[in-house]
Amino acid sequence: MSTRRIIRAFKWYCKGLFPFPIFEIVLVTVLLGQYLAIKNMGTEVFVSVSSFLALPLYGVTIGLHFLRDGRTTIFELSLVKSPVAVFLGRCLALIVGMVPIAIGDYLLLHFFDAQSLFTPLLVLLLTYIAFTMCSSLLQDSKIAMVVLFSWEFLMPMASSVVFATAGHYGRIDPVMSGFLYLVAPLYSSSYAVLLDLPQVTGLMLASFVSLALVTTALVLFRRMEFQF
Amino acid sequence: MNIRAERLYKKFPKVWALNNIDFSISTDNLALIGPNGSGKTTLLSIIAGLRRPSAGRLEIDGIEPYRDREAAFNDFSYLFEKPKIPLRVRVRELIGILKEEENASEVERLCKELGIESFQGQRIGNLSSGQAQLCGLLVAMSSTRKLLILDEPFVHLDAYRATIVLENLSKRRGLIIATHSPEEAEAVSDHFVIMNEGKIMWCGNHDDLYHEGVFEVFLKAAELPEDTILVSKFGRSALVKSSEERLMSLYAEGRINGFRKAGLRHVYAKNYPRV
Repeated sequence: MSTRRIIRAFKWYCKGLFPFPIFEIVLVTVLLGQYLAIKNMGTEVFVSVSSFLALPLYGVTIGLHFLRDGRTTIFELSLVKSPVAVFLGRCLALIVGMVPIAIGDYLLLHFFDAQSLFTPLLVLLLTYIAFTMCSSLLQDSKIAMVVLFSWEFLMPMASSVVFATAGHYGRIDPVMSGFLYLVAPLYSSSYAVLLDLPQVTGLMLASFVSLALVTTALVLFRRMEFQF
Repeated sequence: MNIRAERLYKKFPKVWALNNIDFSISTDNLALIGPNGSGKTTLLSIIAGLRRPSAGRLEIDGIEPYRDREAAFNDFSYLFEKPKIPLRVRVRELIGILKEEENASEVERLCKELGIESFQGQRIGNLSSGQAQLCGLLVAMSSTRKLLILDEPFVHLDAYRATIVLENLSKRRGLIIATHSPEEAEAVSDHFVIMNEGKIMWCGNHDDLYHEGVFEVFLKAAELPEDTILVSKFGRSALVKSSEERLMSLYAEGRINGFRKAGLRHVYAKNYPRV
């Protein structure tokens, strides 16, 4: 497996990554929603809008590009000639796909002097990359889409229910806290007082688990059987 | 190319797709022939390294492709049936990527010969089955890898383009093809494996095919000429045992439209009496 093949795969997956005009519409909608939330209602609402609606919408829009069925993956393997290069090409292109929203949100948070939210937001994007790469292992793009949608939209919403009911039971134990940091790092960071895990540890754990998920997905992709 | 299968099995839920496949072949071009569901594509996918056998082993030139996948993907180029690929990428962009990696002049030649230039502005996801098949063939055939693996490469193609593909493949060394059609197999291969229900029914080369005096006769009428022994009949064609001289005289008398040595059709007929 050579660097040249990874570059070839990366170029291949960059094609159609930002489909015009869908991407532009989603990016503007997401940033506008976040801007209005933070401007009119402050960082707490910004976190909710970003965690439950804006960033999942962006993550799924970009992620869909990488959910290929088995037949398409076989075609791409024939083109790139290396499973590892195909996987890494997908991963690199996915990272590039997250750059516009990361830049947009950095500028937004800088403008409203809320830079402390940027690190958990970056961790959230990292978890999106991990979930997308895991979902891309499913060789049925429709099932993969449902799985990705569930991870990025439904899990943060479920975590909000946990936080809402946590007040009755005291603080949330470290294991559950770690899980909440993984599925909703931005939202969990803003409710860190309820969690029995320091924010830095939680974000580091979420980042580590995300990287572990990507590595596991790579190992599985190398070994998996491809469906027709 | 040396290809060896030892007690190869592949089980899918409720069905054995391959059932004790055992052969050892040394050849340049190999064809897997058989009806739908005979296990051709499954065997081809194991050869390509895309699937693992449930039991047994398969080696090509000393490597087990499903174990040493990087080597297999490096050395093999392939196209599998059902080429409809839902991608937004334009054909022009695919050609661009191929030109960077493969022999650019070969890519251009194939684009021109296969008529891909005429739809290079379209997105791959919007192509017809035939156009998508041509794109898949372009990716597979422009590669300089040592083994080309093709599953039903002529389906979806019109007769003109199928002939061009056939012509290109017949010049190639290092080809494994799966097909339903005995004629296509004979045109590009020098060794044949006939399969049915996951088993090998017959395995041999051109010499094995033609050593029996069996001919495919194209009849003018429904009846068979006298002095010929019917092996099998399908419409206005029949497989008969006869001599070349007798068939020549029938042709000269205008009683048959033509004839040729039966080859794979005969082996097919022996294994599947209704064919």
